[in-house]
Amino acid sequence: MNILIVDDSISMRQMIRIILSGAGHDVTDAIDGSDGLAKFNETFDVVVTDFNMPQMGGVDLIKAIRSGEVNRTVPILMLTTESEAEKKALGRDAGATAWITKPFSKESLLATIDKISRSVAF
Amino acid sequence: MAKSMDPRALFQEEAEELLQTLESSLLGLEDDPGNTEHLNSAFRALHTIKGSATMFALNALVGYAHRFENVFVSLREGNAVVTRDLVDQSLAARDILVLLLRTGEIPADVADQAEAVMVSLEGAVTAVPAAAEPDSHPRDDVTDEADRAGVERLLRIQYRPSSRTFINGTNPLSLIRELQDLGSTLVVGYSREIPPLEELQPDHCYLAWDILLTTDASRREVEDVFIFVDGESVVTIDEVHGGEYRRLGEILVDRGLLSQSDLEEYLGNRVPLGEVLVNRGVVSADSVRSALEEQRLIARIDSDDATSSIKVRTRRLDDLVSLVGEFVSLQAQINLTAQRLEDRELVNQVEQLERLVREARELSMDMHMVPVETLFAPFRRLTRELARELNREVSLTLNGTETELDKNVVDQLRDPLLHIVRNSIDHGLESPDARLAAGKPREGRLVLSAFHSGALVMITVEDDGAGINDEAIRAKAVEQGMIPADAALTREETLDLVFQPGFSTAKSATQVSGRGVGMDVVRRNVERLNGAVTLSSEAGVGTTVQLRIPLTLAIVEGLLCHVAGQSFLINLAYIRECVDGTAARRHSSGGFFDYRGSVVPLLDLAQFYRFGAANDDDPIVVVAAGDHLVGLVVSTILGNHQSVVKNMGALLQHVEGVSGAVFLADGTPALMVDVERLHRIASKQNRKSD
Repeated sequence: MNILIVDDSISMRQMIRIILSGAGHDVTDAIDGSDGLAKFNETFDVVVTDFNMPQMGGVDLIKAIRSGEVNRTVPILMLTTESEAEKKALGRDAGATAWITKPFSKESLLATIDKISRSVAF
Repeated sequence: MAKSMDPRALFQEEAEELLQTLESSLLGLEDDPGNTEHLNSAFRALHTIKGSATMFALNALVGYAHRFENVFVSLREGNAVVTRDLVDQSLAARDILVLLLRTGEIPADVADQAEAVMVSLEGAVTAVPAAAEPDSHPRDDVTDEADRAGVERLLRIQYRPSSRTFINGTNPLSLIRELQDLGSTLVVGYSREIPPLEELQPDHCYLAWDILLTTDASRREVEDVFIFVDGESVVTIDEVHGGEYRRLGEILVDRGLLSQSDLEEYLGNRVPLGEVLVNRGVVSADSVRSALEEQRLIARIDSDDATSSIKVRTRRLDDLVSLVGEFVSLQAQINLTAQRLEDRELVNQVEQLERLVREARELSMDMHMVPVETLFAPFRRLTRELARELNREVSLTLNGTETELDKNVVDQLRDPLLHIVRNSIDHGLESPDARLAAGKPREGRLVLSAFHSGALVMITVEDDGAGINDEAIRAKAVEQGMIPADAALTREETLDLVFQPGFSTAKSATQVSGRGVGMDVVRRNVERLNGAVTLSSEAGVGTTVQLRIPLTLAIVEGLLCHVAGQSFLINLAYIRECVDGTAARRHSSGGFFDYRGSVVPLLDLAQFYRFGAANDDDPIVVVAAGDHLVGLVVSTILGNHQSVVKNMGALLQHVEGVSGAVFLADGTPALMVDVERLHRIASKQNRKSD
């Protein structure tokens, strides 16, 4: 699958990149929401985004993708630090498909991506 | 920055940079305490450090950064103002983070100081939110043993996806499939909300479902299926207790669709409650339907307890099934009449009648079903006896014994199956010595399996014996004059010779395997059931005989077609697809066409039954006999038809390509197409025409 990773932390990006490319996925990096939105296109099967980022955060990125013209139903996985109900609700209402709480294991990340990508409606 | 590949090293570098950023932001705040940019930047730096540190299990760092971050959460929410003292303490806390980053834990000599700094920071922001400890695995930590009893029970799941479900990238169907993985389900869909086409927004979800799930999974496992549904979607999961018959009204009240007082009011009427509620618009028709399904399911579960059952003579049951079959036929006729009269009221009533007849049909067929166990069980004993008699060692495995099949079919399968098993033990499995010599275990393996495939039941008899020797079969067939010595046969056709009358390769006729009475009888018996038998074998590895049997003999659901003005019914169990004749790519020879990337033989039914020839653009019904596809060319496709199948009678029972007849709604007859037989004819014909 072709996956877009949006995270302002280079170590997080690198770690996710290693996990995902190790599982055979193609990975593109973006350093924050606006970079992610600029790189986003119809070729991505899944987007993985952080919640808190400078410039444009995860919620705004999701809103922008969901209200856009291109690939608007792409599954989006949000990374959160705490499993705070409020943040999850924010992300969910913006249109996140799923979230995963840091720290996550390699297995749970891959399983979650597998789960949401299988559930694509169109 | 050096692009190191090691995330841990990258984190170290990154965290150092972030702590640098934190320091600058703190210093910026000192100069300009009201600057939200600096405040946000400091918060983000802490947040990112904490987030990444959790991934590397730097727990001391995470814990300290978390408390530090909470201070900034409070500041951002305006619960406290930035003071010079606060900046001082923050800078001290930052230095402790630097230490933590380098050493992994707080050195003992600064531990007290570190705590003091943090306490004073926490004290400075008056309303630090009740510090939620980083609850990293809130879900995994919870184990509810009580719930995980492994006991099967019935859960009612009401799933009302929000209209934006599709936009969020969620597919409700995949969630339902996940539930189906957890147990057996009964799914009732609500489609009433779907607007007229011109108002329909394609990316809106208008559907809702009730799912009755019988499962031994824990509640949490069930909830986990819905973990990603959005906040506007509604999912409720309730346990439904069986054990007692529940009235429709009770179920609706239980589901929160109706209040108790309303229920009592409506019950006053002498009209069925469901009807009243729907007519008054109190509850939707879908809701009533769903509740009724639950009622029936529970009734069925309770009856499965088999604590109360009564014996019925098979004969009576047969009569009931055939009576219901007649209902089905008559129903179809009434349908036609109602439509012709264009009487709306009559059409409505007929539709209700149709539903009831369908239920009666399912119920009566259900009563007629017995598990394959009853067919297989005697073979445990028989295998032992045969093995002893023939000096074999055999281990028997029975699979899918719970698969249900019409009792009449089971009765008629006994003899064919006995023949096959005998053959396997006698001709298939080798003697223990021969097996050892061939590098196999002494004990031969015999497996009887049954499973459903659409409206068919597959029964296989598999052995790991010597397999069938093509050359021996060929030689034998030539010797018997069944084929010319130079006949070119495919492997499949060679194996098929085994089913020809008078064929036997056994070196000596044994008492148990008979003398060439065997596979031809098997085939005839199976074909009498509208089934088919095929054989596959690999020399030295084993032989598998497969029987494909329709679930029931009584009532067949088929596709009604016209062929040159005559009516034919093709059993739906065999049909893959109908192909528009004008779009089909036929080969110039006319004997084949391209179907989904493969070449499939065509059989022109008009020509076959000698009515003339089909047109080039006639529709094609693609049927599957086992793994093989054949395209049957018909003149027109009319629609589905359910009917009791009548035998052709003694005079006509040998007519090739016809397996029975049915009466249509208008009283005229239609012939049942014998798909299995036609397939064999088609593959032979086309090979010749090559």
